[in-house]
Amino acid sequence: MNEQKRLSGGILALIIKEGKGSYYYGDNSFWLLDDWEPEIIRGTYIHELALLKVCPEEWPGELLEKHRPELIINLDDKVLLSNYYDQALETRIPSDWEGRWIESQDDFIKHISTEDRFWEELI
Amino acid sequence: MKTYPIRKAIFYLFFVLLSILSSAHLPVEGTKTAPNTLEWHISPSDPGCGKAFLKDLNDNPKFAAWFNQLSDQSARDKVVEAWEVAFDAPSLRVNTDWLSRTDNWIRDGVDQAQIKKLLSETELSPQLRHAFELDEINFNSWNRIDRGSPSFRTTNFSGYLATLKKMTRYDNTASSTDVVKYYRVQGGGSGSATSRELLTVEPNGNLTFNDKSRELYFSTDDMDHAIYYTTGQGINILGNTLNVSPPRPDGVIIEFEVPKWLDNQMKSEAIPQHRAGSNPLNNNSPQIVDPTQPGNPFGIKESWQTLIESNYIEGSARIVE
Repeated sequence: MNEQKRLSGGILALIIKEGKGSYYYGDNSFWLLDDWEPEIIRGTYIHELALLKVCPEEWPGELLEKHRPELIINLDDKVLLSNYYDQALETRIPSDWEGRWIESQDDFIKHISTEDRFWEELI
Repeated sequence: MKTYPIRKAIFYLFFVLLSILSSAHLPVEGTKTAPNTLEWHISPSDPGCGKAFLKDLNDNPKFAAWFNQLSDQSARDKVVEAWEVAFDAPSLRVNTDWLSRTDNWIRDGVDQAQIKKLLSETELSPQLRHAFELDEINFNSWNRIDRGSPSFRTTNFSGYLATLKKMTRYDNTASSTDVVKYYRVQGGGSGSATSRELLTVEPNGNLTFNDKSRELYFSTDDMDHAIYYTTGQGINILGNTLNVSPPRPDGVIIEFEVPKWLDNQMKSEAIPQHRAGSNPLNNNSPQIVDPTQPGNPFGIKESWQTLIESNYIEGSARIVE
């Protein structure tokens, strides 16, 4: 599928599992963690996302310019951080998770490790 | 279950039953012609079925009385057929309202396997049963979710129930005239928030769609969801009062109007957001989102944004102060 077309209608999420971050792009239905609670508990949620995995470091410049992560899902610490305005994804989490909306993009990015800030290679 | 031999057997049993009820001094008509033997002809494929019907009549005098007062063979035939379809739902199959409801679905040509599935699920869910009995849920809504998002009911039951009620309400309020107000909460912040303003209200009341590659979220009919999004307060379709931390307290509310026909179309094609990626009914469809929040929020992709962009009521857009 054309990468440009694939990167439409969804948001870019950084998912952290066992300390390692990976990027996924999908529509919000994939980020409603309360809807995926059984898979999260079983540890299979990440497998459900397999087709959504993307490699921003391989994107051409125009895609790198356009896309920034708006969601961090830390499966290790059970934390969801959202910088996405439209749907309050931080409220759609399992009961034992912490969800937080961070309005400022600058503040949000501080929660992403330097090695996962693919866009900074442009600078 | 093979319907025809079973029905034959059940009608034979019915006359046997009339004989029994007559001897028990119940007010049953037609007993004079009932056979006086208890020779049961029961289908070898399901010998318990005929007995179960007889037992249901014996154990439920109200059901027996209702069945007995049916005036003609055709009416009794329909009841038996509905009873057979409802066989796996023991409390529903002796409930006259549910038998009538089942009969209506059969007459409407609904797939009987789906009716059986619905009845079996409803038998085990008092909330679902109550909602059906109040006509808050219809078959079409249940069927669309069952075929598209079957895991919804087990993963998030309150969301499932709320979505069923919303889809039914949308079915019931469809009409072809007038316009519907749509609301969107956006922006309100500073700096990077500017890029999230997917709609711009022009001075002449027209809208500019700034980036249709982004999913567009809005709500319809009333401001309930917009108010909830900015204040954290409201009442949802399940009747629950919500009072939470406001999700987006600084949001700006935009209002615009769309023709009712387009609203009808959007709502009739809408699917639950729940696991929409694997929903076989998903054709870039509008999504019913956050069903347990107040109001009627939806999310739409580019093609639907284009449709709304082409058909909304020009000049109707404004910022709600």
